[in-house]
Amino acid sequence: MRHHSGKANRTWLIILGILFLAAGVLAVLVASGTLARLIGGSPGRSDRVLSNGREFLAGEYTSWGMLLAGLILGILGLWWLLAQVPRARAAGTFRLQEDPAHGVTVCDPQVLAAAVGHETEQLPGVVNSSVRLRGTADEPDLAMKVTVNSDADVQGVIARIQQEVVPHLVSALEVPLNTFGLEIDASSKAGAPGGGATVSSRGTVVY
Amino acid sequence: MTAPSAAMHQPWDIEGRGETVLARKVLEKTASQVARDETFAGGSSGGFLGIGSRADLSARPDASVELAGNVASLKVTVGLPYPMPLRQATEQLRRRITERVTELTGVQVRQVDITVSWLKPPQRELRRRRKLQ
Repeated sequence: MRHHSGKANRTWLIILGILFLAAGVLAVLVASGTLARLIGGSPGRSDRVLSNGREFLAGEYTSWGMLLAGLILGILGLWWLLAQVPRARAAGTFRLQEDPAHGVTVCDPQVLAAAVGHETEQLPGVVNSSVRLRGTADEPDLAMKVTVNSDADVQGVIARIQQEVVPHLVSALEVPLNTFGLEIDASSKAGAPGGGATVSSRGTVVY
Repeated sequence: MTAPSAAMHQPWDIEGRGETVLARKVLEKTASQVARDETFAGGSSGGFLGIGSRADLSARPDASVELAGNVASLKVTVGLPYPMPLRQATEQLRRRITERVTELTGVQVRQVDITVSWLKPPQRELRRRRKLQ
């Protein structure tokens, strides 16, 4: 289960939106002459926008200030860029019970994932499975990638995962899943032994 | 003849009769035996020095004890059948270990920390083919 930097994106987009909106409003006010009327008297074409620009730019600390500002903006930009890389949500140990007076109960999510994977691989037509359990014991996130063979009943596999495998995990954790993702892949390998999805015989074979 | 009768009437010197020491191992084995016999929990069996051991619901779970006077804190590492409500099963395990270890040894069990180290799904039997003709 991967998650993106949605909160940081929203925050920075709001900040940039406000800045650009303010700049746009200022440009409109300047272009329409409203700003000139507001501050009294319109500037001539030859008037400088920045009255003491040369002195400002020739200041002792101006170049260092500009460099520092550029550096900060660059670091912020780089941080934002790196934040866009999707990353897996951290999976800590599931704390099923936490009572300091009587003791705690913990279970590694990989233990549960292994049980889910084992149960999934017993389904007819399933070749392989990869299960990831993230989040917390109270809000678990389940992501599964199931590989089925070419003769498998895909709808049947999905139905059995939804009706058997997932409910078993829910009953083990005693809480509903926060999120559940399922990806089905196809393979040319043979399915699980005893699955019975594929019958290849010339005689009469009854299961 | 008077000396033995006088000695018999003296009060027992309890301090001089010796002391009973309960080894920590006894508590650990008692706890793991209770877990195996009276709950669904299992342990691991086989292997050498912990290598190659396999999950076994009929084996005793691992237990370690920290003793402070007559009060014990236990840490139990167990395996459970799957699917099973883990919170309920481990709460039952905790309660059972607390009650039985206290009852059997006289040591007051205050805390039982449980780690579920594996879950064992039911093994599906392979359907056998039956040839008619």
